[in-house]
Amino acid sequence: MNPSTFKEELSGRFGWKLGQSQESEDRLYLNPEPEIFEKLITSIYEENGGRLATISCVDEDSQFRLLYHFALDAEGFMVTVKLPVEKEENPSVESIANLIPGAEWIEREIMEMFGIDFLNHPAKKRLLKAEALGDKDFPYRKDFDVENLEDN
Amino acid sequence: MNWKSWGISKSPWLYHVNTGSCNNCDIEIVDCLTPKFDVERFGGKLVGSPRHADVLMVTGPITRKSKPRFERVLEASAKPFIVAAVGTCACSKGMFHDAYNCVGPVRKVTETVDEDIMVLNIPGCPPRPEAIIDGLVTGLNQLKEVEV
Amino acid sequence: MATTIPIGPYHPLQEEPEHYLLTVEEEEVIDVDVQIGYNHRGIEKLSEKKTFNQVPFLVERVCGICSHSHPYAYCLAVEDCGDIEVPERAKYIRTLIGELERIHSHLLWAGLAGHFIGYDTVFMWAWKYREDVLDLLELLTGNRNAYAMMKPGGVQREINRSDLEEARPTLETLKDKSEMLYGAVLDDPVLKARLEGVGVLPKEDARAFGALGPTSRASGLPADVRADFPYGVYDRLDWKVITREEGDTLARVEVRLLETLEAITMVEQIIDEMPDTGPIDSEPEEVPPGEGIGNYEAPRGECFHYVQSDGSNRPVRHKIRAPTFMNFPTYRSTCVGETVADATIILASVDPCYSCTERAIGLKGREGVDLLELSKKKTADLKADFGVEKSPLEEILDE
Repeated sequence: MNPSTFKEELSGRFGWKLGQSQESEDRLYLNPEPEIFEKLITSIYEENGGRLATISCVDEDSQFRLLYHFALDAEGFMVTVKLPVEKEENPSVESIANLIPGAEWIEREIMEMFGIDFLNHPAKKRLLKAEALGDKDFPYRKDFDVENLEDN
Repeated sequence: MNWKSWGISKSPWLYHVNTGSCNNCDIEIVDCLTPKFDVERFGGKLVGSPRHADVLMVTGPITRKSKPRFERVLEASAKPFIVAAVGTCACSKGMFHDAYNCVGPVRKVTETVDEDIMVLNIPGCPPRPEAIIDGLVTGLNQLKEVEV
Repeated sequence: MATTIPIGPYHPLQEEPEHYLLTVEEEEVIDVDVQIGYNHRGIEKLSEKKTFNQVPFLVERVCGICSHSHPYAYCLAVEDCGDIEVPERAKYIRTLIGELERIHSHLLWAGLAGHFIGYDTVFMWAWKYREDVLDLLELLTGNRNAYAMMKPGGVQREINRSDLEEARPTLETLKDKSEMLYGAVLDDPVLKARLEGVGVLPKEDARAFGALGPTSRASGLPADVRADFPYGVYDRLDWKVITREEGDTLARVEVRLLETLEAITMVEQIIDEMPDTGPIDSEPEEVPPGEGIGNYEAPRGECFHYVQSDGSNRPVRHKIRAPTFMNFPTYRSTCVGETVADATIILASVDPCYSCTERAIGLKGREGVDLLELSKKKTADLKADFGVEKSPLEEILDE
């Protein structure tokens, strides 16, 4: 299986909701509709043996974008599922840690560094952020004021 | 030289404190114990508690989370002692001078706890074990000229 | 009654600050938590201020032991983003340094693991032979630890053929000594008793937590980035992925020691096959807008970097995920149910590297039980079970 055939297979299942995709020899980027997101993740993880490599979060000025990177080790390519998250007062998205236990720490880090809430996450607490920084300080956001931190 | 500086400069007992370093310096400090470099020739050994230490070997640009713990180690250490800042990060924050989470370097934090603490700087990224031993021996020789 | 034993953040055995809280009942561990964050320096945020060529120097200092892994994964990500070609000779040099680093990292771990269970001889010997590898790296690259060899598009500096030939006798000795170490560890009945069946990580748990590297290969998951997503010259060398089925601490030790021997063979092949002429840098002019993923098999597992570029000379976003980040949570599966004495070696068998991870909860024992009393009681019970007589001293003390 290669990225093209895998994309064909997913299109057959999800139709237009799979959205735009970019593919190359060993990379596949998907932009699905939010409503099929969980089924897509389940399909990649459980039916196709995907391994969650990590979840990246990018602060694009008008919104956040979460990228779920899966590695299909047996086939030799990576699938990335992109999910936009609105930048509002309390941005939130459903957690996948109950399906994939390995996602627990990754989501904890994103919660404290970017301020995105993962609903139904099993253990919401700080991982890396120092106690001196407050609960509303999100260091990895672009607008985080580094110059005026105390003690710097 | 008074009896305190004479006491520390003979057979220094070392306690290793990592305040957030990348581990290069820490591995090089542990390397000093291994057969090739063997700091035990000088009587130096790693001890398990700051209360036994003559020299605190501090590595890393002090991160925000480890700063209060480091201050407690300084308060717990039995006087007289000196602090050896091992590595560029501990001497001057080095590459992390503009990192948001690094509040070092070591001298800045020791001054807030007690102005009389003497800090010995051993730069390098990482400093070779020979440089660490050389820095320690030179520093301890200089200590004989002062009153602690 | 549950007691909490805190290990860290500053502990004589640990190189790095991390705070473990073991909740124990009598001698059995019922829960582990890890509190980290002491090493977090905000490197991903610093990357955004540096140019693409400056970032390898920054990410080298994510971790000292894997100081070739992070720049390599980053360069793979940038080359994926910009479709940048890497010349042949550069690929050989990169792979050579990568395998030498694997040898030194596994020997380092072998020494530390011996130190944790009280075998200081293993510690001193492993680190003594590790010095030969570091001398070799210094000869080839100029530094023992942070080599500064990587840049997107190639490598920074040349390696001379004469230096490579000097490496051969060192590798011969290293092979002998590694085999000796391997034999000594596996033949020793005491080590076997301490490591066999201890801290088992079942295959399903390894998959669920996303465990990587020797931790997952020792549990039967044959995932190795060098084989699955080939980069460098791994597709041309003759080597194999090493796996074990048992998933206990002994399996992890075996996988690492066998990988060391495999790495020595690979280095010898590279020295034989490396071309002596050719460019070492394809000198890319720019990184076009886009995104790229780079994964690399570090000694501890898969090192993952994601880079997003907008056409300027600085990355917009640089995400770093080190292997220990995924191996960490497996403690919940391996440590629970084991005794306190085994907890340290289980925690160490994953070969944790906290500086990589960052870029431990207490159930506080309300009525703490004095561990010393528990320990004495257990010794007395064991003696009674085995019918051991009291020593004369104990007879006196008991009166």
